[in-house]
Amino acid sequence: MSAALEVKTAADLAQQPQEYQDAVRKIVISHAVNELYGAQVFDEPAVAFAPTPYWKWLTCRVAMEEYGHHVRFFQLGRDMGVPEEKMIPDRTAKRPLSIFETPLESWEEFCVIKFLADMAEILQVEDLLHCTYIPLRNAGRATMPEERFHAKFGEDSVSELVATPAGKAKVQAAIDKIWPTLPAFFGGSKSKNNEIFRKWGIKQRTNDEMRTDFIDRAQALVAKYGLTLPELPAESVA
Amino acid sequence: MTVDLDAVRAIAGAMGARPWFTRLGVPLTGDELALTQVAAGGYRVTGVDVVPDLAAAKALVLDPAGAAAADADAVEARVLRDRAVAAAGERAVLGDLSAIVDASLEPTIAAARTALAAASIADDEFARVLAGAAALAAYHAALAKACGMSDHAFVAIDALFARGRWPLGPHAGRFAVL
Repeated sequence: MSAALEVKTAADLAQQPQEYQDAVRKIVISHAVNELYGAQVFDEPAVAFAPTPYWKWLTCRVAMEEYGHHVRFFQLGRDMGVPEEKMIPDRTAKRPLSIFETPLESWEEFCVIKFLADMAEILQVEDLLHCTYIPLRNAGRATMPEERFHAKFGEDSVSELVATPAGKAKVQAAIDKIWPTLPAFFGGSKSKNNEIFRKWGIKQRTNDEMRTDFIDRAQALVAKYGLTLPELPAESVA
Repeated sequence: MTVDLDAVRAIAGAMGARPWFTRLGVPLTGDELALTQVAAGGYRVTGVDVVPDLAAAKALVLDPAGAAAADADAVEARVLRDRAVAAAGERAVLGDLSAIVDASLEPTIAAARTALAAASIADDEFARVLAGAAALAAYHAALAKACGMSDHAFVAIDALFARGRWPLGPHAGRFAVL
């Protein structure tokens, strides 16, 4: 059904079946809310933890770019007729991702979030690159270079921190704290939403396929720096 | 207290037209020296150092000694923001401040990349450092101006950025500017 579908504009979207419209709206709202919430609870507070002016200004820029991603999805949603309050974290009923409930307590934790959580974000955005709703596909494409930079920032900072035994121990402790929250980022194994997203070609992969890919990539990445991922509780991968 | 949100909007409106990073490393004009001295006074340091180039600036801002001044700036910015919000309401103040972030995103990074390319430095991370510093300075200056404090060091720092310089902050008892 979705193989030949391409919806080019918000006006065209309004002509599509209600299920398709609702599914696109859900994804746009999710990105708008979570990009802003992530900037508020991780990136902005991380500026205070950054150890030098260089890292503070870089973190500040990263926060601004995440905020810019929110604006991109917010404008996309507004073009589609989504009420503004549905796309602002403290005004919407939509709950932000559970990862944001983890309090940020150190520079090492922030670097690990960029190192691993932003890779999860890249996977989510990658999955939009062939989306049948073209404005959403374009938003994903525009967002990807900065997301890749943020993940690189995480890897570069982690590679610096692990150069000393004390730094490496702090990074490992941060991974041990953050990692268990990450697989849930991809949603439930039996997600009805994901089924609908795939039915309409809005997303391409199941939540479990993405989660498995993420875990494989994360394992390879941490191994490169002599780090390990802790065992996951069973409920975090189902 | 009256909050001057027009001043905030004026900064947002000017972001795209500023000659960001176009006068790095050249001798200070009299006007720039005066602004640098006001900025230095905000950190209770005297004396000004003109840093010769981007490589020297990078080494300086990688020094952890500079973090304390940046942290103090963040505390001061929070005080100013709380004061403005208390007087004018969160939605109005934060909405206008967000406009500065929106307006700074593209022009600051484009100008930083141009400045680094002119110095034959291929370093996109460093470009983001410049862009982040410039946008943060505009944000801080907007807060000071909103609170009616046009003589605040934040305003002088932003004015130096607006003239194409990069004020780097206090370092070893003097104020460094590129």
